[in-house]
Amino acid sequence: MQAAAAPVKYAGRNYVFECAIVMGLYVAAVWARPWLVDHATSNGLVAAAKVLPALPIWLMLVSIWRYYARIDEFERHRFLVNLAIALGVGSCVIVTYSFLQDAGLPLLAITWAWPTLVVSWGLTTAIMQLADHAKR
Amino acid sequence: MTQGDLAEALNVSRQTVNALETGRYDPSLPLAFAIARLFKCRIEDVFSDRK
Repeated sequence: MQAAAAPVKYAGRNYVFECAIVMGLYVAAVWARPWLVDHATSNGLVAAAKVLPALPIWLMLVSIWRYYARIDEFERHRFLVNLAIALGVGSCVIVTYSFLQDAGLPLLAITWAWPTLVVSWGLTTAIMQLADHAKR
Repeated sequence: MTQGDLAEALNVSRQTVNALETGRYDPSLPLAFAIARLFKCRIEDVFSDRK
């Protein structure tokens, strides 16, 4: 794998900057959504207003991809390992909770799956970094 | 040369240099060649088969 041409050391800083913009757009979309739905003049516009907060989520995917493209090969390796573990653990948590709903726990919307996976990814990354520090 | 200097010269992170030095990561061929070029030596002089 060839080392990225852009300076690797700025990858994290650029990612945080892009994430902040995307999160700002998400908050603005969620905040504006009810007003846009109320003032939409056709069914198409109502649907567009309702789906609006999903757009920044797609932008987040672009931001993550750009981060992946900027980091070096070792960081990519760690990134993918962390992602694989987080997806496995997060999926197990989601499936377990879906069965626990039958046992009386509150019914949650499927939109909770995304934050569950994000939290799982964050925790996995933190734990793996702590383990990495311990090996140094 | 510090880990930071080496990382800068190779355009990798300092964590990557640390992982290479401590044997926690084996570099790709392009990175191994880049390291050998930087130190003006052969790949075999930098990396050895640990088996």
